[in-house]
Formats: sequence, structure tokens, C-alpha cells
Amino acid sequence: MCVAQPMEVVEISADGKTGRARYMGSEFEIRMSLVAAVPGDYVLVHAGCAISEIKKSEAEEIEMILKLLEETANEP
Amino acid sequence: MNREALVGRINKFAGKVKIMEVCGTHTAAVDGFGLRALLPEGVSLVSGPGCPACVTTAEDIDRLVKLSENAQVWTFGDMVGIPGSVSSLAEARARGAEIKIMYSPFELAERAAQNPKKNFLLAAVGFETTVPVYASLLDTLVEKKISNVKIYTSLKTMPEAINAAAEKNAADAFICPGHVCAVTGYGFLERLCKKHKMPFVAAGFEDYHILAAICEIIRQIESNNFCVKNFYPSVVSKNGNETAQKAVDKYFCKTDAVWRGIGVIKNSGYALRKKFFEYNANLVYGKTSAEEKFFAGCRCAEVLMGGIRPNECGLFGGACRPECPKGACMASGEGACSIYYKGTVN
Repeated sequence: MCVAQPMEVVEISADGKTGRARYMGSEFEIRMSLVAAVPGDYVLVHAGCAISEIKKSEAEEIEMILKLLEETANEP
Repeated sequence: MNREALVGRINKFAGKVKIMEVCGTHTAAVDGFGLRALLPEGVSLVSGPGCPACVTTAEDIDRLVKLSENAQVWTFGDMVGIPGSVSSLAEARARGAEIKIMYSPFELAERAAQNPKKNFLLAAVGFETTVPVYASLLDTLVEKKISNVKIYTSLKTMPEAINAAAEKNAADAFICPGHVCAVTGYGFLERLCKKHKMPFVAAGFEDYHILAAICEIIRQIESNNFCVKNFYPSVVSKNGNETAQKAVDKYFCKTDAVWRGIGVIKNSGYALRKKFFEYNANLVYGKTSAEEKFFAGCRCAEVLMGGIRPNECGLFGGACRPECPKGACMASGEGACSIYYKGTVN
């Protein structure tokens, strides 16, 4: 039930409460009131509602995780 | 270090560790990526209480079935097969009750506004990931003065459930639910780590997230030095989504909750605040009972706390299958039994 998809914000309504976001080529109307995103940003969408902004790309995230692992490995 | 290197590092581990992947979505990802087969014998993954439908009590289902006599009930698809003490919502629908499966609760607000003389009921089930969505729906109901929707809450929160699992020694380490942490932040894991002195890693749902989390847990076990790591940094921060937290706090307050198969966990649920009583469908009932009856032989209670793997239950794959579930963990698509069964069959 906690499944969520990353979507790209395409459009935001004037009051900022709703918007449209793209996922795998399709666009969906989503609730935007819980995030401060603008068109072009990526958000995590759960049950039709953006619940979090996505701050990094997958490549950046992998790099960050590996750095975390390296840091732990080098700890005394 | 790539995925192969992560698997190689994990397979150098010579010890034994039992890791709980708390979230049902993690169990589905572990199975979907075939990760279990990549792990050495000493590393075992067990499922936890992180499937909201699986921990919804039979009494809650009974009440929803009763409420469906006078209202159209809207719920997520995972909920309809969960057995009540008499019937599931799917069986009630077969008898004529109006049970609607929703993708999003906002569809319900639209439908209720278009049909002001009809009664609607939202079966509000979920963890911290979903509660802000219900809060956002309430914003719409209040703002648009939609008064023909009532909400039956069976909402639960993760920190107390993970704490309960740690207290019962259900696992040596925890892979913690990334989408819950996206809302709450990972700060609560630091409190749990300090108390239980074991690894807690917040993780996303891709194979590399989970493998990296296992790798990190192994390193901590080997060094006997435990800490919290956030391996889902693209969406999880220490403080989480504070706007979502404020929205939740506006409408809901913490309460004790009964978890199917586990019993009462103090302060592990959300109820609607008194101020919003007009939406509250729970008010006609007392507190849910901690006494539960299961189908004879059903071992969901042990599955939910990592006590056994689903295929160790005598009913698994025989009397209990997704098309005729005897327990909640087989009825929900994110239940451990259902996921194991699909993995076995496929």
C-alpha cells in the first residue's frame, strides 16, 4: 500500500494545490499541497498525492550510497 | 562498487544475521529482484509488520462490512480480500454491498460532491505514508463543504511497531520503510538504534538500495558498531516532510492501536481529532478488541513478526492461496504469504 512512483511535475494550478505529473509517458492529475515543487522537478507520488520531493537523480543517489558505504568501511 | 560487487561483499560474510525488511513493498522488491537467492546461508531476510492491510483486524473488517449496509465504501485494493470474522469486503460486495476500489481518495471527494444525497465511507487504512493523503482529502472535504463522506480510521504508525519487533528479538537488524521515512524523516530510527543497539537502515525499493542496506548491516554486525544509515537520500531526510507532518497533526492525534496478530501497541495509531467528529465513522463503536480469532492453523501472527517464513505455515499453498486466502498475509498483494506464493508458483 505504501507504493509510490517518481513523477516529473508538468504543471501546477494557480493555487498550488493540484498539478499534472508525468510517469512513463502518461500524465496524471495529482495533489501538490504537501510539497513545494515547480514544473520540471521530480516528486514521489502516493495515492494521487505528491508526498515528497525527489532531490537527486538515480545516478547521484547510487554515488551517494556507495560513498556512505566507503565511509563506513574506512571507519576505525 | 556495483551491484555484483555488493553481492560479492555480502557473500564474504561468514556469520549469521537475521534482517527484517519491515515494509511489504520491500518484501515485494526482494522477491521481484530475486535477491533472496543471491544471499549466503547466514544472511536471512524475514518480513515484518509493514503491510497495512495485513495488520487490519478482523473486527475492523466486520465494522466496514456493517457500514457498507448504509454507505458506499471506498478503499484500496489490498483491503478487499482481508478476512473479517464473518466475511471480507469482497464477499460483502458479492452479496450486493457497494465496495469501490480507489487509486486515490481524491476520486471519492469528486464522486461525493456530485452525489450529495448518497452516503460515502472511506476505509482509511495505512501508515505514515498514506495519512498525509487522508489529511489532504480532509482539507478538500472541509473547504468544499462536502458532508456526505465519513471516514473509518484504522491508521498505524511504524516507530512503535518496529520498536515492538525489536523488543521481541524478531531480528538482529532492520531495513526500514523508505516511503514512511520520506514523511517522518529518519530521526526516529536514531532513537530506536540508541535503545536497541542494532543496525537500522532506511532504504529505497530498487535492488541496489536493498543490497547496499544489507552490505551496510553486515559491516555493522562485523564491527559490532551500530548506527543509522539513510540509503534513500533522494527522498529521505532527517526531518522528513514537515508540511505533510503539519497536515496530519491538524486532523489526527496519536492513539493506541490494535495490530492484527500482534495485539495492542501503545500510541501506534492515529484517530481523527474530536473537532472533526462529523467525519468520524469510528464514533459509533467502542475501541477495537485485542482478542482475535484466526482460521485454524493460520500463522499470520508469526509471519508478521518474522517468527516464520510464509512457507513454514501448514496452510501455505494448500488451503490458503491468493484466490482463497485464510489469513490476511495471503489476501493482500503486499502480504508476505501472497508474495512468497507468487514467487513459488512463478
